[in-house]
Amino acid sequence: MDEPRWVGARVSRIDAADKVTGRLKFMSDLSFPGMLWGAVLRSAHPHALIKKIDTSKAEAIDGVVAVLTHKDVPGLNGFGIVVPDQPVLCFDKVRYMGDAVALVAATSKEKASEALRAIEVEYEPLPVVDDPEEAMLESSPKVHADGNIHHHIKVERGDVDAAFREAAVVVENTYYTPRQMHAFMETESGVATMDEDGNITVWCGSQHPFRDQLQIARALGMNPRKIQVVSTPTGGAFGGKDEITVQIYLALLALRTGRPVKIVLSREESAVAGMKRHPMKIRMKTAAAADGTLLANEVRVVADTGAYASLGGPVVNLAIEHSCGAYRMPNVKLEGFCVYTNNGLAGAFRGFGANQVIFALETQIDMIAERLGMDRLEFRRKNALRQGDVAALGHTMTASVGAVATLDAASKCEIWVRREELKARPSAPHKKRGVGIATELHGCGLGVGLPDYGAATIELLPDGRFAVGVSCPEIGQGNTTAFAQMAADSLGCSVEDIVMVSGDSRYTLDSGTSTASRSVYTGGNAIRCAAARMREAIADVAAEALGAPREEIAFGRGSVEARSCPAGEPTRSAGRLSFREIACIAESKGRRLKTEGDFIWPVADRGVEGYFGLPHLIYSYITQVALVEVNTLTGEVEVLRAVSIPDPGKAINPVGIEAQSEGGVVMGMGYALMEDTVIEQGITKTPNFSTYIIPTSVDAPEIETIIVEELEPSGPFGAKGIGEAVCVPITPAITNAIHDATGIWITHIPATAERVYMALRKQAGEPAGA
Amino acid sequence: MSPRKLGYVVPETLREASEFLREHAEHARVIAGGTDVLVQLRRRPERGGADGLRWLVDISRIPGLAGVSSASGTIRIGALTTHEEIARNPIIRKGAPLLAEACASVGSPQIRARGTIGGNIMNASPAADTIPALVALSARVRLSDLGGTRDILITDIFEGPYRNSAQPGEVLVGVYFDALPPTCRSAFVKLGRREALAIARLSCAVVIERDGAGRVVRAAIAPGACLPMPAQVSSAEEILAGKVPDEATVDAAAREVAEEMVRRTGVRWSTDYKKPALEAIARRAIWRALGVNVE
Ligand SMILES: Cc1cc2nc3c(=O)[nH]c(=O)nc-3n(C[C@H](O)[C@H](O)[C@H](O)COP(=O)(O)OP(=O)(O)OC[C@H]3O[C@@H](n4cnc5c(N)ncnc54)[C@H](O)[C@@H]3O)c2cc1C
Repeated sequence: MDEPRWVGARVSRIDAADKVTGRLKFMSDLSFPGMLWGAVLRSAHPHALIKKIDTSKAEAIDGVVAVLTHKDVPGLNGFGIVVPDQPVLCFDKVRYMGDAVALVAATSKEKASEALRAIEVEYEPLPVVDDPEEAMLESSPKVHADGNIHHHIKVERGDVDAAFREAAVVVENTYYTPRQMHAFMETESGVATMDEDGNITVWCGSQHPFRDQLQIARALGMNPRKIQVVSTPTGGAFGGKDEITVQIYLALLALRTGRPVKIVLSREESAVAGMKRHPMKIRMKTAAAADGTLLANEVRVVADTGAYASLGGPVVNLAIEHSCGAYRMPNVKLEGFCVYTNNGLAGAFRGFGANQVIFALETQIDMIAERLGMDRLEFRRKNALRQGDVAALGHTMTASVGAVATLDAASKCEIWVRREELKARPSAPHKKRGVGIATELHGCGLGVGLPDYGAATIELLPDGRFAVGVSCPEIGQGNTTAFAQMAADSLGCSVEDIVMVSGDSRYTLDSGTSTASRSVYTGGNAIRCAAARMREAIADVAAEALGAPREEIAFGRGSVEARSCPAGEPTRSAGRLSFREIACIAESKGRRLKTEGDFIWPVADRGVEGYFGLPHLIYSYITQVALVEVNTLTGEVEVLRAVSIPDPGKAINPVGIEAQSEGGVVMGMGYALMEDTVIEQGITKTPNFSTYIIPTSVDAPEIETIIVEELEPSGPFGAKGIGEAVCVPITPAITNAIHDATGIWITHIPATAERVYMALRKQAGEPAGA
Repeated sequence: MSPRKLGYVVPETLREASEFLREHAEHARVIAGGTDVLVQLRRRPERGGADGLRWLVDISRIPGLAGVSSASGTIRIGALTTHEEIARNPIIRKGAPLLAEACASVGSPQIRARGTIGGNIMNASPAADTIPALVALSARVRLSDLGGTRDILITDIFEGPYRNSAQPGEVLVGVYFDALPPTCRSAFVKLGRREALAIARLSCAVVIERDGAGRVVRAAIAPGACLPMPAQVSSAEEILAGKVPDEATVDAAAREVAEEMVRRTGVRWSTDYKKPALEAIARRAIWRALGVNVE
């Protein structure tokens, strides 16, 4: 094949013009004739038994078309990616404030809210379970009948106790991480319609239309073929739309009323009912030898998964997998608990368990380096995994490994090289500057033991363009642009000749989720496969039409030609056929050229017995560096500059990587410094953006992205994935920079001004309240 | 969010507005930029929402309520003047730079373009940014009703958090204060949870006038977001008065601001942080009002 022309180029997003002009319609922008407004009655208590539900007054309201309760769920009254333990509509009890108790459809939004208020539910409140560690006790009230420990994982390798005895340095600390909110711009929203034949279409932002289709079908007791799910474009997801959000409610209401129904969650409802990042308490004990070799890591994670399982178990598994980061760690004892409480809901969130443990680990790493008097970067480089190494969970790192390469690049970046000089010049005498560094690896794909596959379709359109279908939705990350670039180079045409079809269960094949840093790798490989088949199909048509042997057909840009003409014969223009001409010729014979491609993920050479989804074979790598300034009088921390050095394998679109990198830095910075969904006694205290604080553009530092490409042979054009890693090490890079500036260690994030100030005072030896 | 049916009236004169407001008393409320009112309408009554409200009275068509003017040393700002206009206005930037700073720190460009100074005052939030600045300027506010107008000191318009002392029917028409002479400097410093769209957790407004020898002739210090009622801290002002401030004096005055806050509010769980933080921003504000930028 020719040199790639589109892959690796700074291509502007194929959806850019529609997005910036506002032409693009998100699902929540859709309207249909006769459309009703749906609304969800949420629980009035964080934990209570339901004694009685009376909907008669609501039904009597003029303009109210349907009121549904658990009795109206025709199929399985439950959903959940791993175990369907979350009721579609609660019947016996409620377990968090976001629990759905009833649905209404009405002719206006106002009527729908009025109907919600008219529904009478009698509850018997139960004690609220809000502390995960207490929840683990036998004596705790139960959120679910079979106990509050939803999932427990334990992995041991080597002998940590012996290592701790022999080690020169052992550090042990407890870390606390907050309940971060995805804060996507489009809340969980969508529309469902039903046709005369009873087929339902659900238009709703999400991350896996085919799994949504399955979960909707299961709840409706309907054949999945009668349900179409469309989830591109999604106005941001970050994992928060991996699980079912409002799809089943929409489908139930459309089924009942036969009319289009729309639900748009308010920001407050989204904040209360929606997914969050698991708060974790992490105990970590890490040891190193005097020469700086890491010897052992003992980790205990307790994760608050809230009321239902969703992906809590897999998140904890990945926390365990990532808890030794990008380092060789010969002895490990790792244990994780995923615990039910009445604190909202936690599940998938960009980073998927790594953010929490990497914050803990990378702090431990800095502490050990300091104790050993070693340079922080050198210490990391010394212990970083190389290709061929055995990783902490015992699998062999056979895929591309960019840990050292990203650290090497970090050692040359300006804020690292000039760190002493930058630190010496704070903007005021009471301010202190510091530079911090952190690194991680990040598993791509679903890991050992879970079906992980991709599929793509390519169709030659009559005008000579290609329709390329991949189901992984466009959730804002830019995967459709990357797909179009890879398709263009695989087919030998221009990106403008690619029409992407994405996130639609009717018009694409199941290619899995847009999660787990997997969609570019998966979709790209499936596209490569489908494109090779398309080229064969085109060559067949061309050979026949040109009367040339099949092997003689060569591909140019947008055309094919018979390579050698018989000697003496002048080159005929007829010896060349454009893709459009190919389409015409095929059409005239009553054919449409359409191919399918598939792909199955390779996996690590060994799993962890008894558990699924870990470890991974392919990882992306990233090192991030931050320059911060701490106001020692108020505890305020300003991130002045950040350098982000990802190894995504081949950067299919460098602009896309930069955008991911910059967004990731700001998201990880919010996690480090300000974000936390506060829930007290089961009640969310920060339900909107005036109380839940995220960084604004003014808070964002100057961000430089340096892409390091460690090509992955199994990836399309050498690509891996990068969507998650970009938001992970920046958090400990910032907290380590605070240490570098002031000497205090941050073990509890977010590092708010109060926390930093109090730690400074404690360091100075002043008692609190002085 | 609970939906509600609200009437919307757009009076053309102050008289019409007052008549309507009197008639409907607690069922009617003025709306200016709406950046506070509309947020309150979204809230459920039990969480501070505007319960019992039936009418919004849009005063934006009433002539003469917007704009900045000055006459014989007195600056007048109409109630409908937006934060954006005030922050950019040359009269304010010269005659009350701290107010320009305070307005520039409000919310975001969108909020500054809609939110008005009248709304900021009448909403009476403890965290309102213009209030400490206006207190430090000893501003007066003018209220209009059917019987005419009355002027009161800015500090007298507040009755408590989110409560003002205006009578039903009264409309705020403007605020007045003396332009600061060239011998004065001023500063407004705010501590938020982030750089933009940040409600003040603490703030401090300071005006200092000095004589030719550098001695403080007059100091006004008004902290924000931390006192039960907006006020100056005269005990801190007195520490500066008559002195050529050195580091020790400024430190002492700043400490006094923080200590006075604790005296007025009592010790709370947040005091451990708020006291030293207020001291730090008061010190920063005082130095800036002395012409020293300590950031
Ligand atoms: C996102 C956001 C960020 C914000 N950030 C800040 C900030 O950083 N700092 C800050 O101080 N504020 C902030 N605010 C609050 C608000 O924008 C300001 O208080 C603004 O000045 C209010 O002005 P308004 O014209 O919008 O008031 P409105 O909402 O119209 O009115 C507010 C109140 O004042 C009354 N009122 C208004 N005008 C008059 C009048 N002339 N006579 C009698 N009563 C009157 C109304 O009845 C109402 O009770 C923010 C608000 C939002 C939504």
